[in-house]
Amino acid sequence: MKRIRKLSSSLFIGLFITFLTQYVMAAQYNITHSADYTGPYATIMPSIDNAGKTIVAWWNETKGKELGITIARKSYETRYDPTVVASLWPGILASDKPIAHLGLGGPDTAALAKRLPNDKVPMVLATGVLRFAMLPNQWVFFSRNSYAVDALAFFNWVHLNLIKGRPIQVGVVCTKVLPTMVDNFNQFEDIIKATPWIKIVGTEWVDIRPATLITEVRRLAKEKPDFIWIPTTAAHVLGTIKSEKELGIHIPVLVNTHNGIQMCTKASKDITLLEGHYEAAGIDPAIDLTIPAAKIVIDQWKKMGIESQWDIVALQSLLPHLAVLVAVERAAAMVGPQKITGETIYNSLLAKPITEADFLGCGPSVAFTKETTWPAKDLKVKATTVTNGKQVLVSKDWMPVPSFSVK
Amino acid sequence: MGILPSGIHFESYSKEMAYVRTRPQWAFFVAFFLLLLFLPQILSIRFIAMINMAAIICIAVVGLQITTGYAGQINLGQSAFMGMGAFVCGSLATNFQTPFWIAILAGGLGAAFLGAIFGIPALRIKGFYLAMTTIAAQVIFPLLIMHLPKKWFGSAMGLNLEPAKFLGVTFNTDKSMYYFIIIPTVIMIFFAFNLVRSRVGRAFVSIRENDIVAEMMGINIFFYKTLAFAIGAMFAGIAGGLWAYYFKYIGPDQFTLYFSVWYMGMLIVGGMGSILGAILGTLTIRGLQEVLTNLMPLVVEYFPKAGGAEIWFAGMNILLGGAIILFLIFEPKGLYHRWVILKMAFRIWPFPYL
Repeated sequence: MKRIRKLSSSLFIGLFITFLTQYVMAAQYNITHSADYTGPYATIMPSIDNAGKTIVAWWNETKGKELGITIARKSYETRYDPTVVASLWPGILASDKPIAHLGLGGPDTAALAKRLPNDKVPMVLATGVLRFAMLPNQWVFFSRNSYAVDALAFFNWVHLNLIKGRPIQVGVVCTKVLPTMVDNFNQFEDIIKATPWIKIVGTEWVDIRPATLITEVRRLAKEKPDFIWIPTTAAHVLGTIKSEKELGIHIPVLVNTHNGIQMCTKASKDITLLEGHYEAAGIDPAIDLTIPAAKIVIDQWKKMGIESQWDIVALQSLLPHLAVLVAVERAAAMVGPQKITGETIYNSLLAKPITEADFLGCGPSVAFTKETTWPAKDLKVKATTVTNGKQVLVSKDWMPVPSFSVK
Repeated sequence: MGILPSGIHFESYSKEMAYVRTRPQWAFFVAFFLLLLFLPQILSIRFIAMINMAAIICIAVVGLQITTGYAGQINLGQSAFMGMGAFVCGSLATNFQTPFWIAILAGGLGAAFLGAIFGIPALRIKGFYLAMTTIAAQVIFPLLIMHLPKKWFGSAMGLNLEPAKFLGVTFNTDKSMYYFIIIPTVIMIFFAFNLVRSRVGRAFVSIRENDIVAEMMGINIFFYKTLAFAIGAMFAGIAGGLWAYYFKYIGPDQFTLYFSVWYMGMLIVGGMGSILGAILGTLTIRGLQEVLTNLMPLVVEYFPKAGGAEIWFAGMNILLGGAIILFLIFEPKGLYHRWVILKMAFRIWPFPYL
């Protein structure tokens, strides 16, 4: 009898421990990430990866620990090629069972957009929203405005503060080699049609790697633009600015972050070239080291022994990571830490807005809906310029994007 | 014709010329098709996705083999022709709700038309100059798509397609797409095998060997050179149509010169002037790409101090390019040549040579 009692009590204790271990043991989930060390992202990919793994490590140590969740982040080289993404994805899906995927841009979207609703895995991207993916019921989420919308917000600020009595005259430098850039221009053109206070006075379609842009800039200057908007590459921005210098003129250039002040400074090693030119984007410009994200990431780098630089690339990389991590927290609250799936992440991305605080100051609040999985309401941008060799904010507050009707 | 075991003889020319001639060959042939049929039930979904992508590319590379390997007309615009097929197919599917099989065929014809146009200069120019002309196709293609009315091809935004449907089956999973892709692949390869042994195929080979002599023999050079481009491009167009239904989104930046160069690399590795060579080349290069893509994250994960993602991921292109260089140095006739040697050695075994 004593023996039976002893046996049953040890069995009970064993079962209790098993139950407790299961409950207490951290649930582990995978998020996968498209890498591109061989294509257009090659030079900035280390910075993207460093920022990504750092924020995930920080989250695991802090919020993940509280929730009993560990996130493993796995990178896959996709060569920025839709065929690689398409053939790689089913394997990732089967082996890693990711609860979310972080994409790089067009190839990921082209290869996965149509299948993700069936796979029940959301994908979040750091790039400006791509118009071909602006469809209802998508599982592809964009945390940023399109470049055309960013430009519109800046010109709206100019219209309200600098050029009030007449339409702002804008010249454009773009390239037809990159269809996404042509689409950005087309979107800008569509918006302008319904915006009487902006006028495109000239557009120069240039080569992807031009030797010089003097002829194009001279031709554009004849139309007397107030600004030159360049949605394309840092090479085009630097080419335009150098051409202006050679022609002895100064027409302020407006750029975004991918071809912006920090990227051009990296390429030219001379920030003074960008003196008096502007950058506008729907994210923080990464010049303020006091935003929570900067503090966290820099501290974590020291802790992890990673040598990296806090810049716009790191910040851009954080946006989709933070969107997913916030969604994990919310999903844990909704269904419990042990029951998180891709679908619960999707639902929690839609459940309520991801605020500026959630983004740790990296970007403004975004409210996703089933119809609009990109920033569609209360859009904002921050603009910077170079003054006395330093990148500074044009306006301390976020600049609102005026309402516009076209997609 | 390869060597057959002793005692096997044929009573008619057509039987002797057939690809499948003996009972064991028929048995292998049938077993192979059965294997193809049941592959999705055997393999993991990862392998099915790899096969799907490789099969689409295989059709385009077989087409390139016809234009370049058989007719001797260098073509660096195969990816553009593939794009043309994809966009014609996509446009018919989205704007006119055309059944998928008509849309894919029309895509093939659209690409053939574009291919024929770019094949016309082949009458006057050869080699490097012809390569430049076909590169022009590659440059013009995205501009063409972006400048034609948006309703036609979606302009810079491209086209979104709905999944193909047939007899109540919706082709939106990897397994269903396998059947959707593999059936046209088999048909196109069957067509290619037969085409190259037809009157047209012989005309292509004679043009490749010496176009002046071919013309003196009565072959209409202009017609056959243009036809070689049209047929090669038609293969690419069919591949493009399948690509469109596989991705369900097509954009003008998906069909780049980079892919055309890779297709040429696949031909080099597989061997020029053989349909089987094109298939072997595609499978080898795609296989190598897949192996490296899978291997590198593991190397980075398990050996974090051995260079990191920066070195290993970036090294993939070097390894792939290196494979092509090694083939050019050590086996310029390609894998097909190795296959022939292997087959011969097997048939005459135990004798070392005939």
